[in-house]
Amino acid sequence: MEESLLIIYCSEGGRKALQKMSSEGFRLPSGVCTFELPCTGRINDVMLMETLQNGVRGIFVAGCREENCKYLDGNKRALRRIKRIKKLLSDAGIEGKHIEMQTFGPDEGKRLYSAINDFAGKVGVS
Amino acid sequence: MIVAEQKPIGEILKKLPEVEKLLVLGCDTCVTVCLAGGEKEVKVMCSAIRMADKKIGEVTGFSIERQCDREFFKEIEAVVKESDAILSLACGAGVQMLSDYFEGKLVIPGLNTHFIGSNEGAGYWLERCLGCGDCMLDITGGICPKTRCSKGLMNGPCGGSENGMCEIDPLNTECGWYLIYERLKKLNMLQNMMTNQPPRDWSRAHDGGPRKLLREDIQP
Repeated sequence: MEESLLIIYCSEGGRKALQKMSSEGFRLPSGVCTFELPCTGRINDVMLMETLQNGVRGIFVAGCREENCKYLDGNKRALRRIKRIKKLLSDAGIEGKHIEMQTFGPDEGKRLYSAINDFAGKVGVS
Repeated sequence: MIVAEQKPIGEILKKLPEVEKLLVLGCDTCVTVCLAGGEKEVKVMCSAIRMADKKIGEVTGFSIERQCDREFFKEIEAVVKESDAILSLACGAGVQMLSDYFEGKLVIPGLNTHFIGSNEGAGYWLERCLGCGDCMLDITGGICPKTRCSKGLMNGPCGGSENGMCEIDPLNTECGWYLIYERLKKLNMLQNMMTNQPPRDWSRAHDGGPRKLLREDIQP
């Protein structure tokens, strides 16, 4: 757990981008766990903070493109919550814990792969 | 309800003493509704302290129905006894009640208490009552001039009212007396605007120490 990176993705854009990534032959780095939610709007502060506290080094959230959320604005809500938690971590001086969210279209497997690898490098998970 | 917001986490961490066991105590009433000190906020605060502050040995989170009512302290007596200090996520009344009940236990406030207000929408609370002790809402159509008028005028509006907005912030702050006028018009009670209201009775407000309310019909 201590060396791990968690990828939370939604069952729409995030999932399809992951499937596209996989079908194109790109593989996730080792030490990466994935977790699917119906929508990234389901993410809340407690979930993120307790996951980080339990040893995960970084959480990467992959949601739908801003205008493509099946639930209208779940991805926007998730972005706001993640911004809030990032500020909390920064203000509390909590080092070595990272959160990031990006949005993807179903055809953006390669960009998702690059984004996850960049994030894994940032949090020190190879 | 009482509206409060969390102190910046950096300030809270600085205030926390180096203790072996810290209790983070939430309040499930007003500050839960304004998303400042309920069960969820307790969990987030506990996680933040555990990750940020290595000086504290053990952080426990708990939440009770109300911290401004001593009857709810019974259930936490054991956990408080085990703790060296308490970070209270309650309003100022709750923090003081907690300090009184558990005398000798260090209580640190985690919130800044702001006002008595209403929930106007997601993430938006508005001050509605000053707790002046002399309610005149029947005269003003259910809108408090002492709270909603920036000057607290008893007979308004003043010359700073323009297009229904207040001169202190014409884009965001409504003129309390404009609101009162419009409300009284709907109620067909505009004659109330013509009645000169006497100056405020400050003896009922924050005067002569903390105000008390005693009801003999309820007291034992």
